[in-house]
Amino acid sequence: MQVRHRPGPWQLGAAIALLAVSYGVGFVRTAPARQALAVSPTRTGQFQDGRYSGWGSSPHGRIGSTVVIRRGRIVETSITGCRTRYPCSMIAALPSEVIARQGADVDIVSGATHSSQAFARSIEQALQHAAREPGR
Amino acid sequence: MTIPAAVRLRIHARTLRTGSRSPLRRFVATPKGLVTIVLLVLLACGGRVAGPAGVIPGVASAVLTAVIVDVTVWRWRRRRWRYPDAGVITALLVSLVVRVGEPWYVFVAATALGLTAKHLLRTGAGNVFNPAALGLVAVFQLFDAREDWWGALTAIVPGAALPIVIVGGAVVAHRVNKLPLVLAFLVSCFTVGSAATFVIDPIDLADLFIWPDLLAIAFAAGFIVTDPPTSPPRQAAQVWCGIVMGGASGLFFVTVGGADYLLDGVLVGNAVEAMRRWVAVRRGGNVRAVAARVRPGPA
Repeated sequence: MQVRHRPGPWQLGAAIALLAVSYGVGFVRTAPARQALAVSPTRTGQFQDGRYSGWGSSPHGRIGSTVVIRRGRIVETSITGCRTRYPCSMIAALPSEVIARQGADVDIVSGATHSSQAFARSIEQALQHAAREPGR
Repeated sequence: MTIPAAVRLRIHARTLRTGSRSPLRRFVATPKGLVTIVLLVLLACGGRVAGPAGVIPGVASAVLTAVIVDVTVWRWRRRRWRYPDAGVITALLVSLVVRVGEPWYVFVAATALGLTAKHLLRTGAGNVFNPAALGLVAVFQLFDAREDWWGALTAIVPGAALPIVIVGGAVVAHRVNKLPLVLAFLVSCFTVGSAATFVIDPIDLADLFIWPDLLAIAFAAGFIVTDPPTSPPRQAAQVWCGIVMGGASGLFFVTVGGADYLLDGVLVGNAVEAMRRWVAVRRGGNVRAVAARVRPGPA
């Protein structure tokens, strides 16, 4: 008995249609999230107390961070999401810089440029929330 | 001994196909040769941007390690010399995934671990794990190595990278008869990601559907998932294997994230396929018949 290794034309067409649907659903469902991530950074002013989260993107993926504000100052920062190609251990020192400088102006870590920039953007986004909405 | 007419005809047809060609053209006509050429093209495209000084140390380390390991094992086991074509493909895949600028020993370790596992972890029907995937996951865990799939992704202009990777991957998948496996892998991976958007925050899943993860998925599907020794030859079995690999990759992305979720999914699929072969042999099947090595494969 001859075993078929190649799909026929209609099988190939059905599989490609299925692929388009499975990809399309996810692409459409995540569209609002992508737009939210693309928020342009603004100057941060006086912050309202609370815990705020943000995401920053880079060519290698996204980094999420959380900022805790007390009495209008940044008292705690942490990396809460690491969806980059590189381990986030490379930028583990950056959260303390945010507290020291009270802002998203952190140093760029050599060898982890994109991750550093993504982290800075995530802090900027979190601080945007802190500046314009009550803590959540 | 008389050779049956059908066999004679097959030998004659093969001679007509390849006999009159030069050794290089004959090599390119084989699946391994085709994969080698496509990977070299990707390497050249990426290397043009990244610069030879950044690329050559890693590639040279990986290829040299592959040659040493594979030639030594072949010499020891078969008492003959042989060009390590599969080992070189493993080395090229490692070079294309590990980030440019990583220390040379990361490339050496990934290649050596993958190829050593290929020779040691075997069922009667072939090696269990894709050597490149296993080596890359190992160095990711052991050395905290950074993997950016640079050959397929970051070093090429985004607009040009997608067609190159998709066309190259499709040609390879077609040549090694793994289109059902690739399509099932992609459908399964995206289905898990899409379904997860109804359960968890879509912001955690957005990367799966956009650059650069999209190209990493295309690269993995075209060049790593299609490895013939670790995937089934039959169409129906390919679909099941692709569903397992893609589903596992999607689940790893949703639950763990990180850079190696695709490779983790491939290894899960390899393990399931090895188990299927082992069960088939235990039930009295012919080792050769259940082996995935119907055609020589890329890695």
